[in-house]
Amino acid sequence: MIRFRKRRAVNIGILAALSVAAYLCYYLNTLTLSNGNFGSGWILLGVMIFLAAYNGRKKFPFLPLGRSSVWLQFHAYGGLLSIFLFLCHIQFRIPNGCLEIVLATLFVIVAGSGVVGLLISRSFARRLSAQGEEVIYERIPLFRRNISKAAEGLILQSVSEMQSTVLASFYREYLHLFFSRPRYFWHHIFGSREPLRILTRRIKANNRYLDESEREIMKNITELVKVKYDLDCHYALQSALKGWLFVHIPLTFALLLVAGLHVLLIYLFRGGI
Amino acid sequence: MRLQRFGIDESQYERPDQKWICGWTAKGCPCVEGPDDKGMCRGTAECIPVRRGDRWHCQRHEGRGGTCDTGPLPDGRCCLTVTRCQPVRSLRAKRGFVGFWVIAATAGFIFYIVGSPWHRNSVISPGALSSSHGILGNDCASCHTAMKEGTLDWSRLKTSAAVPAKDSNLCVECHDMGVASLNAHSLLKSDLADITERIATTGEKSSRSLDPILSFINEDYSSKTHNEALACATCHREHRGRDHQLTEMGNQRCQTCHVYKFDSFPDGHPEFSGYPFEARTAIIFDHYTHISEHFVKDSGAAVPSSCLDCHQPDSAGRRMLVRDFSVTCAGCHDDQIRGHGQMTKSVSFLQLPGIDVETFAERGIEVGRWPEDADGDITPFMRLLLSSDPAIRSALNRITDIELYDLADTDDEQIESAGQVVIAIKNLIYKIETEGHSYFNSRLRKLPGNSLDDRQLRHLAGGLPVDTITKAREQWFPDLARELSGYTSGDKSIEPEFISKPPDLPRPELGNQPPQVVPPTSADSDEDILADTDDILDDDDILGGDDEDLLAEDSTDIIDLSDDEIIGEDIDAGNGVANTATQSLPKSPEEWVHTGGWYQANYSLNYRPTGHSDDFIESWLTITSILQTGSRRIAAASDVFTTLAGRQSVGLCSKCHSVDSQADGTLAVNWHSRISGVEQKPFTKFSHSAHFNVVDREGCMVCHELNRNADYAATFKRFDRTVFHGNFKDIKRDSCSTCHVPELAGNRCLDCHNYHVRESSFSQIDSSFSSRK
Repeated sequence: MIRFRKRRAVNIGILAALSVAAYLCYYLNTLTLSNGNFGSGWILLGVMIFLAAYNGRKKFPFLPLGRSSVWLQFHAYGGLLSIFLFLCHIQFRIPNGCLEIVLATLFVIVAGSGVVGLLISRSFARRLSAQGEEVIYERIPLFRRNISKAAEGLILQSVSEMQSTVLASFYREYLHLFFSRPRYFWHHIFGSREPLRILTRRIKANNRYLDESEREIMKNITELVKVKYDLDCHYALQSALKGWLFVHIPLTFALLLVAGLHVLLIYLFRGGI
Repeated sequence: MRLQRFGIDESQYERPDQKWICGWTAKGCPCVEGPDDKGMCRGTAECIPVRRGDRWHCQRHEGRGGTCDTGPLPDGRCCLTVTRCQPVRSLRAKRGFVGFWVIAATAGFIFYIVGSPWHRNSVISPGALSSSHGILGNDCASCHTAMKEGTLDWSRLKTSAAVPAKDSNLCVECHDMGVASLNAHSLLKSDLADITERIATTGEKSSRSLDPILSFINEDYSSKTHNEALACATCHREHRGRDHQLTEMGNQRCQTCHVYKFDSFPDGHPEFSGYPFEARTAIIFDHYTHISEHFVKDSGAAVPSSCLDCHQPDSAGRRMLVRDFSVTCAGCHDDQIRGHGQMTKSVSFLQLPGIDVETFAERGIEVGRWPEDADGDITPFMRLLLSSDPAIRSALNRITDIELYDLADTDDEQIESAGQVVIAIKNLIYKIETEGHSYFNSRLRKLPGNSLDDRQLRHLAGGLPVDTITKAREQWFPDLARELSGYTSGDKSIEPEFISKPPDLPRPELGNQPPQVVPPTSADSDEDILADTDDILDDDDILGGDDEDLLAEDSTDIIDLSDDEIIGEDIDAGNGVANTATQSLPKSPEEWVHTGGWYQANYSLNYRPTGHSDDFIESWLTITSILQTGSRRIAAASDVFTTLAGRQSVGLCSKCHSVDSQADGTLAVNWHSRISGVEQKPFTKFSHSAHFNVVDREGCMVCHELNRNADYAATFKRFDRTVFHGNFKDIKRDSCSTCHVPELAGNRCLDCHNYHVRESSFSQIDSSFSSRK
């Protein structure tokens, strides 16, 4: 942990130094007749290509291109640096040309999704470790089915053994939907356990209508509710961890394409400067 | 409860990198085989039985319930068939799918933008144009050579850096800054080099704090500006929105190219040198003597009490213009211009010289008849008009050193030339009478280098009335038409002879004509004398005889004195008949036209100025000023100019209007307080009206401090306007730097300086209109 913190401090220090240097270059350029946008633009494009190359690195794991974790470090801090370079490049103003707005919007979305990805990959990982059992994302539907079958088995057992439909009615009204599909996606994303508390409260409220045997079954069902809730949490968090790349990666390619057009047009219409 | 177990019999092997997964996965019950590479379902049974020996054994996975009780069918197939599914893409494949279509859509968008003429310009435009260029809309080709005939000219990519001024040439099609539009400051490179060298040789070193860093990161604009065209877009960045100010420029950016660099106006700006006056004033007006002497002595209504009585800001509030003559100088100087109180009230335009008729006759030179009493000179005006004929000009040059009234000692060539000139004078008078003002046109247009318009020619003729010239000709040459006809036809019958003064010549003048004084009721010695004088003056023999020359020479002075002072005073001081006498006293022609105009006096046709801005005097001074030197030089024109431009000349023009030498060697009279043709947009600009709130009790002299020791008058003895002694001391930088700090009035370079020293001209714009519209 100490090593991680030290590394992060060093990286943030380097990032800050580079950002200050970039801002100084921008500021000093405003004091001259030189068009600093050419310089900042090429640097920004270079950084963007480097950041996009991380995806390529993962495509060729067999090539000796360095460890992916190192690439990820450069990708994360390079991405943050690119945001500052971008601000310097657009001179801290909102672009007003159609193509420039498209380009800037793409950059903002790509960079924003990157920041979001960075944040959730840091925070969600901790929550995944802390909440419930760690499961493989692709197996979650199977586990959800198993839990659902287990719960239904208990209900059927109660009906056959106790000759009472109180549990079955309660299950049909409040728990069937919960066990049959993933629930409370956004609650899980934002770390809320309120749905679980509501369910638990209802179960407790229903206990007064149950006899001792039914309460034992209900206790097992309650255990399954907690497991299912944790499984849904894993599903939501892992979906988010995989989902942000649906925005980040495709739009990165779009960004690079539009940036290429931007460069061509800039040199075509540079007006002699 | 533990959900996940790992083991060959307890869990499946997940392959997330596969493109397709079983369609039942979402239900939690995927088949064992899964789809093939093309996304086709391969699911048939829950297991694939294995044959060992002669028996088939169930292979169902533990995770799916383990070995079934029924077991495989005899033919080796699984007894538990699986419902076929519709395979779905794996998460990874979905991401690749989305990526592909995003890239395809983006590429399509780009090709559409580049190739489509419909929305291309509006889409690729990097932003709205400033309001001043807003009319251009999305017509990229107006300003960019990269857009040619509605398509993008990609070949420009190869040359965009090599031809920096290409697009800028489109700018100057509208914003013409002269021949050096794309040079720094729109200056000629030679001028720029001179200025740079002058500043570099001052020895002052740059004091800008960030100079080393800025020099490092900046391009070498110093040499670039001296050797290459400077693209307009270097400073004027477009496409930054409607409200963007194209001329905004940071202080430090201004200094990019400068030899001497500094931090701010209060900190490092060079001390002003000779500011604000770079040349003498066009109007000669000694502020010091007027304020300290004249305005003190003459405390009348005409005397101004503040600077604003004579000066007012222009419409932009920048320059302090001199108010009109009528509200500034006229109160004291208007009468002087018309000759009141002046020795010279009028100028002779035509005058008959005395000629030696006898010698002409003796030498057989035919000059015809000539007034016996004429004794004037050929006036500069006559000389100039006659000079338009090269033959007469040569003749005039040959008789420069001789007197026409004594030709006894002249050689044959000289007397022949004199004869030519005499005939030319007659012809001149005849032509003026018969052809009128158009004769001035025909004569003056023959002068070299002259291109006079009708307005100028009208002014040069001075509105000469036909009656005046006709009466003069009738009195001087009663038979002129026949004489000139005789010269033309070779008639020898007209012998040279004098014409005696006609009985009605001239119009009564004081001093040689009897005033019609009403006889007094009582005898008085003064009146007796006057009456006697009348008798004497009335004697045509005496005045009309040879002695008239002597009187005529000073007649004007005598008339002036008698008219204005002696007679008037004497009569006023007389015995009570003064008013009657004055009213009945005929005025001299010169006095008769005291408001200005033409009049005849003896053998002279004179002009008296009508007042300030007299077109006749102004036009003759203007036209002759450009005929002073060089190839245009005409000696006669120089004489006219000298006659009119003397400090005591008629009209007193040059008393106030300075004369400057021009670059081509000619002279120019400054008729207005602002000199036209001089650089209209200097490096420095100043708004007077914006500074009115900083004057205190000292008024304008807060900044414009009188220079009591300057020899202002001496400045105008020469024609070089740049060598001068101003009436005011130079303004120092400290006068401005007190307020011009960022917190108060600001200290941007462009607050006080112009970048382009030439006004933008829109002369190249096709402003023609069509009758069809």
